[in-house]
Amino acid sequence: MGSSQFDSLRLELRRGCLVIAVMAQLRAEHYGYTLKRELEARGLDIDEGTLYPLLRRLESQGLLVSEWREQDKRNKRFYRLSPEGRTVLKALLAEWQQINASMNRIAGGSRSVA
Amino acid sequence: MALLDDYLDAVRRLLPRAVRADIVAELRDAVLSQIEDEQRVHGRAPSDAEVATILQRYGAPETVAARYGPPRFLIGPGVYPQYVFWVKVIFGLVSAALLVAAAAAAVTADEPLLSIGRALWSGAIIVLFNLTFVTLVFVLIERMTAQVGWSCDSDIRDLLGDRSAWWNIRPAPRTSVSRSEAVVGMCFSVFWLLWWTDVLPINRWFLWSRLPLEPAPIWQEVTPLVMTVIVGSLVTEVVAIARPRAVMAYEGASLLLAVGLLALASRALAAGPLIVMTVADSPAAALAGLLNVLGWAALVLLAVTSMASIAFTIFRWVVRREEITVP
Repeated sequence: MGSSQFDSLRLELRRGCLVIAVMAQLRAEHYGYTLKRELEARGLDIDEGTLYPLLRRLESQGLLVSEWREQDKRNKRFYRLSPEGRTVLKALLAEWQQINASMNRIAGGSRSVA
Repeated sequence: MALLDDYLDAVRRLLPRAVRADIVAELRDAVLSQIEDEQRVHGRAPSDAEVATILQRYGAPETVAARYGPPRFLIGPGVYPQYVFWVKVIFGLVSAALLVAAAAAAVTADEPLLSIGRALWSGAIIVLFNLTFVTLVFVLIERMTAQVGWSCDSDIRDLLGDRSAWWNIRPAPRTSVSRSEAVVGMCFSVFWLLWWTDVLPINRWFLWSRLPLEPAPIWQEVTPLVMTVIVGSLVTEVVAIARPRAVMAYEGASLLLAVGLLALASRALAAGPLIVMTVADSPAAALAGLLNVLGWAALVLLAVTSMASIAFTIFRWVVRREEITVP
């Protein structure tokens, strides 16, 4: 398999996970840059070109709320989960656990075949 | 930070006006935060090359701006299958008519190769014109409508049966006229004006220069109506550029223009031949016949499109009225 094909499949795989990771991290308030660093510190790299549009999209869907505040002598936009976002995150995490369990069973089966 | 300012200016220009200040302010803060981090690590301000590397990670301004908007299509997936269908129909019809004309020329003309060449050349222009016209119509349909999406609650059989039905098409919400749409419309009107007034002698370039053909008198008769429609269209587009929020005025003017185009198409269709021979018994008679048939087809298409535009504008007004009335 070519590396570009792997990259494309990897991107597809990560897309949904990133949404859950960002929402989970925003149970506490962050601005974009600290959010990125927090995610990286937990082993999940996300580039800026993906993160900022994702934040705006989630906000426009009512899952996040944001406000501009001054910190370190500069205006920064702080994001956090909205009440609706908390409900959706809970459901997404439950779904994620279910998928994870299924994948462990499926991948375990395919490993023995391989 | 000239490099950062230039970069953000380039992104700003590509973003929708309503959100550009917000997005650019956030991007600026994000980049400055990274620059400050680099500064802490290296104990000095980053060089231009290092700032460029940071910006490189964000991507080209076009890429960055595109990520913030929904996917934009000239002709979207909702109407693309119908577009391809009509392109095939037109291409097939014109090709068939051309083959007949070329075969007739080969059998009857004094200079068969020359006649076939002329028929093919005219056919290529006619195909190009019709494809451009159909593409423009579908671009307009794409701009004006939004297909109702799939719903998990709907019965799949109903969706398959009704997905392309006209009653599933709803006008997209519209609070202002797109300036880019108005500019395109204005360019089209200017082109039409230059063509009609013979400033751009397209007809002479392609048809009248070498063939014993000329436009029928009907074109002279409808010139006042054509000029009224062109000038009306130009004024409408200029007003739309200056006052994009005057949606009702724009739609009203567009409706009147569609009525004008319908009248024009009807009158030209009722007049009979659109192109006549200047020399009797010329081999170009077959080509004249073909051009007339294609011209009538184009006029019928114009009439149908105008009627659809009138009906759609009225439909849009009715739906808007319902949306305002129903809380």
